Amino acid sequence: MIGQFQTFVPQVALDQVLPFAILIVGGLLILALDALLEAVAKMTPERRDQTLTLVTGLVLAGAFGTFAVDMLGANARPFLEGAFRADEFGHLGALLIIGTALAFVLMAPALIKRRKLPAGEMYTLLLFSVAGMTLLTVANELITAFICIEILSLSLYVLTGIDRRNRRSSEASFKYFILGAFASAFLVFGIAFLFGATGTTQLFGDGRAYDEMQTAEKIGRPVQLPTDIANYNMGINEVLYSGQRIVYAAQPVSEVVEGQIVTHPNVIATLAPLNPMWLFIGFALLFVGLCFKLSLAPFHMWAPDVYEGAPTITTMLIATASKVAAFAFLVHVVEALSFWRFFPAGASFIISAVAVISIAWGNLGAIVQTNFKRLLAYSSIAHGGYLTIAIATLIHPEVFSDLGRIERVRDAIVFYLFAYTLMNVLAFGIAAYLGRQGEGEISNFRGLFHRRPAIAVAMSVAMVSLMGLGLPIVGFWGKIYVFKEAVDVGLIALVVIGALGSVVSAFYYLRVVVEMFMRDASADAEAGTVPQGFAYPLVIGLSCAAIVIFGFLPPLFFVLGGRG
Amino acid sequence: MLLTLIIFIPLVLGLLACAVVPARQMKYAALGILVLDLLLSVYAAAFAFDWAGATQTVEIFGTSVETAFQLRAHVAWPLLSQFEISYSVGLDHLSMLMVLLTTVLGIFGVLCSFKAIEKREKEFYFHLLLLQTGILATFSALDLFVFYMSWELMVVPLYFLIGIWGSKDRLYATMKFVIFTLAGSLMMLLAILWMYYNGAQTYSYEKMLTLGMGEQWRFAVWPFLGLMAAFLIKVPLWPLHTWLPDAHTEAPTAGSVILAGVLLKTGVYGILRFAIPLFPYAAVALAPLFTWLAVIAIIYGAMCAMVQKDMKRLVAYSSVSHMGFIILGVFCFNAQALSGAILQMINHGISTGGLFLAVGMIYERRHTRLMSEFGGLAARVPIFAALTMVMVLSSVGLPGLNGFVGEFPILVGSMSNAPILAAAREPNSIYAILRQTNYTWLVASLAVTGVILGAVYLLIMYQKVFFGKLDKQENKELLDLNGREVFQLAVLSLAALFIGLFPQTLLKPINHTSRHLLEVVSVPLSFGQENEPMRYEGTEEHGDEHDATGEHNHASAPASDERAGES
Repeated sequence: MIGQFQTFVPQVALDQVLPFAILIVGGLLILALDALLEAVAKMTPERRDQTLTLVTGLVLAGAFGTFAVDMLGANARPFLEGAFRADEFGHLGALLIIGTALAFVLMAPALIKRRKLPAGEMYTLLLFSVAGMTLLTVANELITAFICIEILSLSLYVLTGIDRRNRRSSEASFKYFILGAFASAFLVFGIAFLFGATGTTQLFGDGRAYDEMQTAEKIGRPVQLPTDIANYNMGINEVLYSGQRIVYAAQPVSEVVEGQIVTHPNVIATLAPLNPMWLFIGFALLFVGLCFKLSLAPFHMWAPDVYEGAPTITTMLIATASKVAAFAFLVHVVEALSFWRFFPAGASFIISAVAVISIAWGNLGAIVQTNFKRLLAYSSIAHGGYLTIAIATLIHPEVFSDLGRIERVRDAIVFYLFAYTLMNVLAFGIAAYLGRQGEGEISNFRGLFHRRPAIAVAMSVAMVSLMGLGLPIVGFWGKIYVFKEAVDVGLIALVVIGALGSVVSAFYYLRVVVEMFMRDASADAEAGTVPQGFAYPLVIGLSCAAIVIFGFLPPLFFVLGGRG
Repeated sequence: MLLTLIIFIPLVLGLLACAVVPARQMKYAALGILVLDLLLSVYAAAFAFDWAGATQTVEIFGTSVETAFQLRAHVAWPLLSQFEISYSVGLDHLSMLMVLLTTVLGIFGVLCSFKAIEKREKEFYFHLLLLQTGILATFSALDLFVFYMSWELMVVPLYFLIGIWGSKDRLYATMKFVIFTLAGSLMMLLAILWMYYNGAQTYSYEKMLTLGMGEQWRFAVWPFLGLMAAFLIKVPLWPLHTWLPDAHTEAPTAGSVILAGVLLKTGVYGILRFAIPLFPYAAVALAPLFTWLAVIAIIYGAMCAMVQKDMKRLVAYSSVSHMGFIILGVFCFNAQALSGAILQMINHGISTGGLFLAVGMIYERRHTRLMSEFGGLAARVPIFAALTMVMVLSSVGLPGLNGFVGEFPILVGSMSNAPILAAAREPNSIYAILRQTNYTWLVASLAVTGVILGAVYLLIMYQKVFFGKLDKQENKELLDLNGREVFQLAVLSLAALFIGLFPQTLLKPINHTSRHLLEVVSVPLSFGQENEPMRYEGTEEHGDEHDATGEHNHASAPASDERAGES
């Protein structure tokens, strides 16, 4: 990298950047429109908000379309000088994120009107955060990934505190910011260590070096990398495979070839032995940083407060989309690092420990919650734990030596994320729909079945699906996909803990159902007002229907995702 | 198709009825639907089902399978067929009997709710019908995934039945019930996944049998225990029984009747259908453990029943005791005890269902179930007293009624469960350790005390309620049974009498099933024997020609089955 800037003029192809460009330019457009519509076009604030909503929706729909038609190719080849790499996982993750953002846009107008929020800022931040998230799902370079994480985090901090007149919202935003910044420090630190250990910040190379090393291994000659390594665009996976790191030299490098001294004036990189300890520390720090973002225990402390304080639709975004993005990144990191043969042995311990602690803490913590959003916060910690079981499966040596199984585990993770997103969009959607009644204490749901039977049934679907036991709905299949792969590699202990956690979770999820169906509302319970219009029923109805339909035909997800 | 109709008619027509029938008329709609279901199942049993038990060869996921199941339906699940998941149902003798029991008792569940349920009637009857579908699907599922789903489907309606229409502590009871059941079924789910990945590569039960998985999983104990955890919680066997008294006490009468009459049987059914045939070795090895737990359950349940003040709780504990007999009979692994156990499954449905109906009738009149509130009722409500007497005596096990013909063979069989001893050949193995604990005479004699205790607590209850002085003012104004109530108890009494006098009608198909099961465990039973031909009572007619090396696999089962059919 250093000293080679002249060759680093990125070759940009429009199709590779279009989806992201739509989001970022769209965000800027909203910013401009927000200022101009009132001043120049003389629109009333109400009309302006409607226009902004419409434009944001169109931008997101455009991004969704470009992703859906597979603009990036999803062929797992790095592009933009190795900064990004779109595989099927990142592709589906990006679609999920944009889908969630569309739900956000559908639900936002009612909130904007009710709490008198600045629509322009909200939508701009939404689009920026979505850009950050989608870029993160396809990020292939650690610095790029860090920038993506910062873009999405900063936008979410503000979206959390956007309800300025609500003190809880401001408090949540502040908490989220302080702890998030703390986590970012860990991330950077980890990235620095990884760079020090390997000499590159790119996760996956273009595969040429890897092919060469594999050929060398096959025909039995010692692994010897070409000296013009810098032109190879090597990724961490290839560095780890060779057991050597890239060292950047300031001077031309000379070597002896067949008795002759040959000087390579253009070479700036060479290979030196790798220090596994740095690598491990680097991963551990990076993982801790991601645990903060994913609200995995024991780094989850911010989650309940932020979930409770943030406007409900922002909570939905934090709980679903940001986690999809961060999990996609985590998957890519551990996949690249798994080329290091010792990696699973060391890392599986911390990963499994985080999984167990998250499952235990999330589920036990949820039992004592009385606030619905805090309950969902703990539930999302537990769900993060179940997903982390899948990460532990992914780095299992048995899985990693088998491409088909890697594929299956990645399918399990992405399906779980899909299920998790659907359930949370439904649960938070209902909470936002019911407003004061849905966002507060669980006891507010008392007797909901008599007031709004359809909503109560939809909420039960969400709860049972979150519980993920028994009935064949989408949450159940997500768990099955994750658990069966873990059973297959013999991580029985983790699965048993996950299963026990699910049993515990039945207690608090069903408590919501008990309140809605089995207790009669107290005399002073008012029916409450709900937002008019089709938006909320559409979000609730669609996600509820999807939960049921994908419950009966889970692989339909992959079929729709473009796999024949 | 017929079976699919029987399973889904309650659900589909129930949904339809919810949409078109007014709430006050819902009970008649539910009754009509269940009568239709009963007629269909009777038709299936009388005309479509071949009681001679012919096998047929079918193709399941590319494998030719010889199956004893009839009325089959097999449709590969769309998009999931690469995992070999299919909607697959079918009946054999055991499940046919269970389906009949379910469709019969379902009607009583509706009949007893006519007056008792006054709020949210539509939902109530819908849940009752949904429960019916869940139970029927459980009894006929031949795909482990479908079985698991139906198993969970049973939980949902009962959760609501107890939680909405139950009595005072209903929320506690319903939560406890759900959490116990879910814990068990999760263990079952893990076991099912384990089976898939350890050789089966299919969820089709019939295919697993054909592949001879029982031999392959010879040393698999944990997955067997996973299945057993789910089934034994449902049975429920001591020490997993604690949810049952709460659930029964708080449930509405219909819930109790279905719960005791049918739902508990799904646990035993699961053991007989899946746990033993798929893991015969583990089942035989751990049989002494389950026999001892069963003995403890018999005595513990009976003793708990003796000290209850609440009649419903008493009957619930008597259920624990009686289900202990059934488990004891299953794990003796001989023909008498096994047939007795299966017969007792039906008997218990009739007699305990009847007792719960009777308690419900009293409760409807007095809104209390405490025995101390009653006394001398026989003078005031003679018909009720007489019919309840039949139910009590049937539950006690009076010869001539159904309880006797079920319990007696179990006790006789438990006396002679010698084959388990034969399995204990390897020193220092779990077999040998368990052998130390397997005193058959002790098991049998302890179990017999359960019968005596049963007579004590049930007759004491009867005495306290119906005899003595009619001193309470409220009791002097009690009304005797109306026609609907007489019908319920009379039908069950007649059934009890019929089975007691002509047990052969039921024992014929039951023997067919128990012979089949003993074939499956015959190899594990002789496992470890060197040169000793296996001989034990009760199954001589077909157990003696096995070679002693223990190298037999299931391929021999159909052959000996034919011989058994001829004799």
